[in-house]
Amino acid sequence: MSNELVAVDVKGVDFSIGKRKILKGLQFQIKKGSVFAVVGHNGAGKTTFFHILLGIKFQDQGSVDIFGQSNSDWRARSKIGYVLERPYLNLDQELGGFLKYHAKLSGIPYAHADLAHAAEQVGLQGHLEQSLSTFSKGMLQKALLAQASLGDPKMLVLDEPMSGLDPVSREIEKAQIQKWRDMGKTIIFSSHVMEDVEQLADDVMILEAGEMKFCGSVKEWRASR
Amino acid sequence: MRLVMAYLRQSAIVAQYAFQDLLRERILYNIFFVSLFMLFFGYLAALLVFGHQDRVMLHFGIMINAISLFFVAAGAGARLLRSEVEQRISYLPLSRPVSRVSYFFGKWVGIASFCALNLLLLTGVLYVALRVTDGEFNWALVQATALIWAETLMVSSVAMLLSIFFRQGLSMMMCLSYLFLAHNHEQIEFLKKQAGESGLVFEILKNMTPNAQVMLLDTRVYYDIPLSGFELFQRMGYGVLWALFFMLLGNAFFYRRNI
Repeated sequence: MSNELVAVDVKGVDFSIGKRKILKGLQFQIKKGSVFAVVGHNGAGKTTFFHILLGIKFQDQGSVDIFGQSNSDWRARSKIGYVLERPYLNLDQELGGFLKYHAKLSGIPYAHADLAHAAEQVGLQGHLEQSLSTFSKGMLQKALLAQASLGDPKMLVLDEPMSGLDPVSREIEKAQIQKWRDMGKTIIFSSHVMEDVEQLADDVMILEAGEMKFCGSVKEWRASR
Repeated sequence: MRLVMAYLRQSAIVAQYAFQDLLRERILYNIFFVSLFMLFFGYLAALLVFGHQDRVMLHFGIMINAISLFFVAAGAGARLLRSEVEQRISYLPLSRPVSRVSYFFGKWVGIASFCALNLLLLTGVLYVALRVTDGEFNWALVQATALIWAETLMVSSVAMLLSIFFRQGLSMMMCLSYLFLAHNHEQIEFLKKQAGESGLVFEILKNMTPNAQVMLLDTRVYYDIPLSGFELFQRMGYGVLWALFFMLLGNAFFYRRNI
């Protein structure tokens, strides 16, 4: 694949905690503008891979490039929006304050209208002044989606974005992912639900105990099963 | 230059939110009311003394300001970063285009600002208490207050450094123990001389700890003998340099740490 078409380039990534190998020799590329699903059981290494991608953890070996920049360079993250698998947030703040903090950290010029728009996109209109501590799990997940979409990122990394959501919220979230795809953004998400993967993803990677068992298009994956 | 500005901008944002977090946690109120309570006892003690009641008040005031500030700095330094890492709250800010250096430094600046506010409030209370006991707010007291703040910079940076490796309670205890050693620098020197050739342990201990005794001005405050501008600059600089040393050390460890 030509470098201009590559959003993420992962080369021989190993990661271990103590003597336990969490990721073993990951090597693959993610196309720009594609929806890429990472599938695996609990403990397969999906979240660890996302953390390495985002520079929260550091690989023992290998390299990860994001739009041609190394993941160890904090500037590479200026094009990424991230949704955590669980709402690990400081709940002592209001939604508006939370969005403002992340907009500021990313150096995104913002106005109240931008924050309101981000909240509205995920169905949280009118909640900007409300404390996150009063939000339900689904609302917190939406708040995470709203912060990820701030500043029109080129890539979105979504760690199990639909886990624990009710059917209506799942549909809202799926619609948002499809909207982002139509806008040409690169989306990387993890999921346990094959139906979601088949419905949303272009390409898929199967992780098993830290090893890549498959990486290719969803069509190839279907054919291989 | 643009990169330096970016680092400073990121640090300022992290510092602002760290400061707000600390305010929300109401540590300030607790310390403030405990200090009010203790100053009241200082006032009662001053009433029991014949003459120089203001000096007793000053003695209490400076002691309370220093002790409460050291606890705040050690507590906040040990907790702020550690709890965010343990609760995984730091994942999201660190997934933003923010360098770890700015994040670590910003947290420290947040604590330093919080300590400055705390100290200002306590000094205000001390001022009121001094007025009640007919004392005067002298220049040496202002200098002592500035030096207490410089020392809190040191304390918070040590606590933050320790919190990278240890849990909150342990970091705070270790930090306060370290502070105790720093306040007994001359005694360590004395022990080293007593030990003679086998005083290597004390020699190492002395070189690894700042001399916090130079940061105390209590006697000078009672007798209103302020430091010269240069002396004050030297002592503040000494505290700030040690704090920056611990900051650099902390940053070096935090920079590539898997969280």
